[in-house]
Amino acid sequence: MSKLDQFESAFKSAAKDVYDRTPVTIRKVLVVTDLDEEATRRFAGDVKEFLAVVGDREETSWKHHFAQPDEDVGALLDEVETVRPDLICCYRNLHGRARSYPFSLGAHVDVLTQATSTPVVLFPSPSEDGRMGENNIDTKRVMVLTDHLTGCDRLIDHGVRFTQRDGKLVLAHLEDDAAFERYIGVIGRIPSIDTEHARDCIRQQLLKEPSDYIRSVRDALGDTLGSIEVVEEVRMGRHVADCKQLIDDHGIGLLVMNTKDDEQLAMHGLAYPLAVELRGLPLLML
Amino acid sequence: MTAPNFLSAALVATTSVHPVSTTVTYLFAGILGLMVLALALEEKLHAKKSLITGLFAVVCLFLGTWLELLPFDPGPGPLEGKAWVKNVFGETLNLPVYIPAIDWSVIAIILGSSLFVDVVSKSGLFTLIAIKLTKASRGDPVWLLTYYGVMTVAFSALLNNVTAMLIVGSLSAVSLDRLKRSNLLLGFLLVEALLTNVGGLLTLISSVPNIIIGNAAGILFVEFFIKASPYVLVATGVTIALGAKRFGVRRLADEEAKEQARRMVRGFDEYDGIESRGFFWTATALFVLFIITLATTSVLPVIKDLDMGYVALAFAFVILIRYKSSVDVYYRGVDWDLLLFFASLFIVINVMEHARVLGAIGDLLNATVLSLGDAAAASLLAAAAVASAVTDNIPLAAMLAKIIGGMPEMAASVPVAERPTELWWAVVFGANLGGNITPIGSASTVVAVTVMHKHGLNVSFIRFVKLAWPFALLHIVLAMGYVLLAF
Repeated sequence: MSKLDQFESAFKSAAKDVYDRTPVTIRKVLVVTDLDEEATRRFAGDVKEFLAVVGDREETSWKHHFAQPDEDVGALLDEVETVRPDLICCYRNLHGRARSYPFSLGAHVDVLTQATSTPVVLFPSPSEDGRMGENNIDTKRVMVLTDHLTGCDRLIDHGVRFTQRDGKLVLAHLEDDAAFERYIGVIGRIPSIDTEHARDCIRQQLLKEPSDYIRSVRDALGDTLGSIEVVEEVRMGRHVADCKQLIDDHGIGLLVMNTKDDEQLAMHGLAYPLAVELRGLPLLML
Repeated sequence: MTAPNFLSAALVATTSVHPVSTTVTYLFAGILGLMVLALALEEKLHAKKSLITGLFAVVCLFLGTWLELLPFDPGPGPLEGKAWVKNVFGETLNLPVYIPAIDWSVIAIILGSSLFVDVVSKSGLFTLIAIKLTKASRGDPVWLLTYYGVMTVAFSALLNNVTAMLIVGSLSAVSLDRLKRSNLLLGFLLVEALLTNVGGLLTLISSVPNIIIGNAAGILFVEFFIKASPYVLVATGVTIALGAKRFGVRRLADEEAKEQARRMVRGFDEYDGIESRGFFWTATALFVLFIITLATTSVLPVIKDLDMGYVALAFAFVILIRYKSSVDVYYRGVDWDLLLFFASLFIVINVMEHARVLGAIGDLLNATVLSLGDAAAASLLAAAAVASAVTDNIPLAAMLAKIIGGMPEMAASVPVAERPTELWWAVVFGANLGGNITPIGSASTVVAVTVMHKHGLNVSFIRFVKLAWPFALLHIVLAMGYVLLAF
């Protein structure tokens, strides 16, 4: 390795992504259901109670969209375009006939999360009378979960916005263990590279970057954070099981995820399987 | 430097001192010319310097021995046909003829300081300073260029010009990329490359020609610094100002741009490279002590007898304690090409001395450049600058050191105070500043061009010369004036 490369690497490592806060304002919330008006009102009430944090910083108006069961997704997008909400609240398998089959989110939710830029809070399916599950109480413990946390200011902004003032915000970065092992396997076949040294250095650097970024989040929020506790969870992992474990360990009430991917129409890598699996947990999908 | 060196002051076996024929002198002058040409074409030949000079040393030693030019004992006696030296105790040491030809003091300084600087750089000290200055600039391009320029000079003076260019050049690439101002990279790198050779004038250990000339002329560290600093100060300021104008480096105009730049540089973490606070402070303290010791070597009891090479090696070994189980990693990082290049170069120069080539060049210089009276030093400076622009300045410095040292005015019988110093300084300025004329003029300009190429800036030999010549000319004219006025 040349000395030029050594110094350039040192400076690149020192040039870090720093969190730059942009406060999130939520003035208009659209609650979308496929229930009747009365059930919708009940569901919206539970949602409002769960998201009490939304109304505590600015005046927020809530609008309900209770549709006919056969309403197509185009009409729903038109409604979103008309209302222009800052937040959409709905639940999985909206307008779906396969609610009892836990293998997808349903076409409406898929399109809603990908075709609009508005954040969507996806709740577990309510009961027929519109009541939300008893486990979904509040947003005292919120987790931002991604496999690439560094530089994701928007995720952090929303995580902070949805965490109650005395709550806990867990910033979790799960580095893809499988991809890592695959590359180390390849390095292991290259005689000129010391495999163990490469493993240690790459692993350390992969985990250092999100850790440094989380430190910058703490620095940036400082006093504005109030009594919110920021917790760092940076580790290697691969399966949905690792994410579930993290969520259980911290008793999370709301999970914040990035679902958009500039290179594809479908939902971002880890987000979809997680959204399908975590059926009992409200998800804020950006 | 006052005490006799263990070997260099000793007697050396004398050859039977055959008169050297003009043909032999021309033969060796031709060999020297070929070596200089080969070094100038190093890149084209794809051969390392040490190999080029090493091969020439092998040939020179063979021819020198065959033609009975080298100092083997003519006998009769037990040492007949052997090379030997007699030390200050009167003991006779049988050594290969090429060993006393090498200036071990220079080798020790280079080996010791490169090891020491390499380990200190691992402490994060230099990256911390570099990033602190980046943040202090608040991302404003003019301040960035000013701080990087001053930092280049300081690092060149205290470390060496190659390390300075490596640090500041790589930082420039990273920070300008972050500030989305990569269009300024060429200007930054060029100004920094030019300033490495200006900064290389500041101290006795800044560049190899300084070490060689300083050793030969007996110039002390502090004396060197005091005499060189006024020039370095002026040349640095002028270079940065001219560079900013020439390459369109301007202050940020509006508040939004300033705020954005501030935010960008805020992301630099100066502590990122510091793995251990304890080692960082130890390395910092040792580095300061190293500079102080070098500056005071000539007055420190005991140390003054052991010389700067000892100081450099001593500090290297002390700081290597931090990596005691893996010192071999640092040994592998030593620039052995450079050290072997010096060793073999000294051997070639020594043979040339015996073949009267240096004497002939000295006569030629005396008849031309040095016969110009008051303008002699300025002319020598210009000639040295032009010569070092196209070939390595180290053989040039080594050769001129021998030639000037051999002049009657420099003889040991002449009191030190009465010996003229302007010729030594002319070589120092010429050999260093000549490196700014072409991309192959000095090791640091080679590094700068490597950084340029790495970042997609295709700077050819001609383009570099076109960009650099106004600066180089200004530096040389300033230096000629300074040598005329100050010495």
